[in-house]
Amino acid sequence: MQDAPPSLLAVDGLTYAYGARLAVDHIAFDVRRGEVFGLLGPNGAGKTTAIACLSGLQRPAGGTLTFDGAPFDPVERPADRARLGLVPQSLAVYDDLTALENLVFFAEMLGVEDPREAAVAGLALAGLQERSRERVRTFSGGMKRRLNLAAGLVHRPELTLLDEPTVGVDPQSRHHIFEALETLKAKGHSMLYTSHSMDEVERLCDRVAIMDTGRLLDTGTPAELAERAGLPGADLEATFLELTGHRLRDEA
Amino acid sequence: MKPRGLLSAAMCIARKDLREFSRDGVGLLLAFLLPLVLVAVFGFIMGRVGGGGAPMPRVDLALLDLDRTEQSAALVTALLASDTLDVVRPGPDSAPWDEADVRERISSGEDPYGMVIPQGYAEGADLILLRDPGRDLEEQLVLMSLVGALFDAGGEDFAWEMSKRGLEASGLPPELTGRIEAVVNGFRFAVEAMFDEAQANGSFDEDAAFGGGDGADDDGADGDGENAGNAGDAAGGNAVGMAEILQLTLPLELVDVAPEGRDAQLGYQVTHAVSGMTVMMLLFSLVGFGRSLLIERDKGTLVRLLSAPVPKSSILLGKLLATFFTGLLLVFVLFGFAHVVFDIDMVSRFDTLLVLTLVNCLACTAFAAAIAGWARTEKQADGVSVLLILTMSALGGSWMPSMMMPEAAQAVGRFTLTYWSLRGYQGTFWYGQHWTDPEMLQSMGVVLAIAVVLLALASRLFRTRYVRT
Ligand SMILES: Nc1ncnc2c1ncn2[C@@H]1O[C@H](COP(=O)(O)OP(=O)(O)OP(=O)(O)O)[C@@H](O)[C@H]1O
Ligand SMILES: [Mg+2]
Repeated sequence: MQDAPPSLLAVDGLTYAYGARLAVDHIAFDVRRGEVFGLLGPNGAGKTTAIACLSGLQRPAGGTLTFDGAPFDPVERPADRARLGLVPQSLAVYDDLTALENLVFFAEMLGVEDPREAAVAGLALAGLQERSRERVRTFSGGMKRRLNLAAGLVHRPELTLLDEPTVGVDPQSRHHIFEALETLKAKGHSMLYTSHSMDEVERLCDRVAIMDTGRLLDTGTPAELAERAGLPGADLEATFLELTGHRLRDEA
Repeated sequence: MKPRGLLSAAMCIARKDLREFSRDGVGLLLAFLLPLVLVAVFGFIMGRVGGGGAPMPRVDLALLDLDRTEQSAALVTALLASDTLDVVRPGPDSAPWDEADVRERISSGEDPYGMVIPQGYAEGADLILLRDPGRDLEEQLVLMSLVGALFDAGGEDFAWEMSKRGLEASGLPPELTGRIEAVVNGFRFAVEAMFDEAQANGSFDEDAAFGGGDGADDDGADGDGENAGNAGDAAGGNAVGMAEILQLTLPLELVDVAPEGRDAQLGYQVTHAVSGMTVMMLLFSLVGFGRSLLIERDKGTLVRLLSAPVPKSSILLGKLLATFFTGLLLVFVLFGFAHVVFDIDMVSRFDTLLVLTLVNCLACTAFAAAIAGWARTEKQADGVSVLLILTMSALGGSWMPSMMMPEAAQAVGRFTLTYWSLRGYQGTFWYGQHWTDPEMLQSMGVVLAIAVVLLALASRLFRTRYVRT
């Protein structure tokens, strides 16, 4: 058997609670260098919370993080945060600034040497060169999503955490975002990707982890997961439903 | 890649905030225009209208009785009974005052008025009324109370004494005055009887009593005008006020005690209105600006800032810098306006204004940050800031000079940021103090202490409610 590529980010026993509610319950997985790793789960599974712990927004109640073989503490160490890119689930851009100004500002904050050059590259990635000097307020939802994506990538991080980067966009924008991500993947960029769209995940991700109510149910390639779920050859959606059930996730 | 340090990151955020702020054209216009309009309106109103107002405020009057006779004691008792004057006298434990002490109290701004009952008052020596010129808003109250007290102390003879002085002051030779007095004395009893009757009937028919001659009224008015003119000259070319006119008929000597370097034309009310509105609008504008922190949280951009490789405190610091800078700009725009429109000299006292404004902007910035840190929604921030700022402005004296408010309100007002900020500005505008003067240092010290407490609170709230790791 071939050696697996070395792990870039290793997560072990990660736990986070909002008051008494365990939103992330001792989860463990690793993202390998050059890999796109899918984190799947129904609404409220704990995906966004896990990403918040990884990006230094929330302090985990327990667990260890290792990045490139060294202890990783994004909450306390800005230099550790610099190794990551974050594309938040909610649109996080400034409406009163232009697309270019947004990207220049984020590049500055992310410590890029030449913020302007990085911002121009970001505009190309988002396909927004033509509208770069217009205020974001005037943009469509798809354009804002693309800008939101570019803002998390301006500093060319070693690992990018993408929290549902295609939610609420039209097929054209989705296609554009996808092409951009596939190009990055081809260049060896590592990503952790969450989405509710199973075909997106099947198309982009090398391996996936499925979580529900804070716990990790299984990790592996889609084919491995299907096999272990007793549905050899099934698609990811069938495997996902088999693992997480049909119950609606409305209750608190 | 080189992660930014605290200050460098804070500057990035501040620049971004100011750029965002400048994009909202109408908002920007309002942020600067509204304070200008308020300063202008209040300045004009307070400059023109030197009195009126329904509730009678009390005015401090430092009182010194050097005569110590039955007559002077009667006057002191009458002044103490006045419900518009707060008579200030040395406490039981402190050393007795002399005239210089009373003078000092007025020039230092402790009391706006002082009265010395000189030795020989009982034998006809004139009372000495020391006043801070320009405080004409209170002057009428003081004089009315004084006349009332003199009547109370001297009885009705005092009224006739007053008429006699009036006649003498009108320039009639003494022998003529004597003859008029003799004639008038005949009428005295008739007129008194008439007043008594009118009082009993509850009505007073003016036309019937005096024949209603318009011409006579006019003559009287002309006479007053002339006398007043003379008095004005005697008082050193000051505008003629009620005091100068009353001086002719009261046993009263007027002494102006103005701090050195004050512009004679400057009205207390105008400088007060300008500083009062400036401090209030500074608070309002900066609280509005401080909401950018709340907006970042609501819009989700805070998540990006918090996950950036910069110290998390640089986010708060950046907001503080932008808010502080906006405050400085606002104050200097307002003062520039007041310099041009109200002729308040800003240039010669620029260093003092700069130091004061730096300190005040810091405190107002800290106030804004504390509100933004505390509030969970923009509505909460708006509600609590309106409540706090209006209360502080009312009690601290932004609308009405503190000394004209009820004792209890004044006492509570001293716990407000507004009071100490205003005290500093009025210290330079009105009392001509330099920022190194002890009183100024005291005001700025209190403001600075408030700023430090509020900054500590804001930073704590920022950590618990925004960073929340
Ligand atoms: N700020 C919060 N306070 C309290 N509970 C929270 C908070 N944020 C999330 N939760 C709860 O934590 C759990 C995990 O939420 P999280 O947002 O991480 O899920 P998710 O997998 O990202 O869901 P979605 O697919 O809907 O984005 C949910 O039960 C949610 O209700
Ligand atoms: Mg989520």
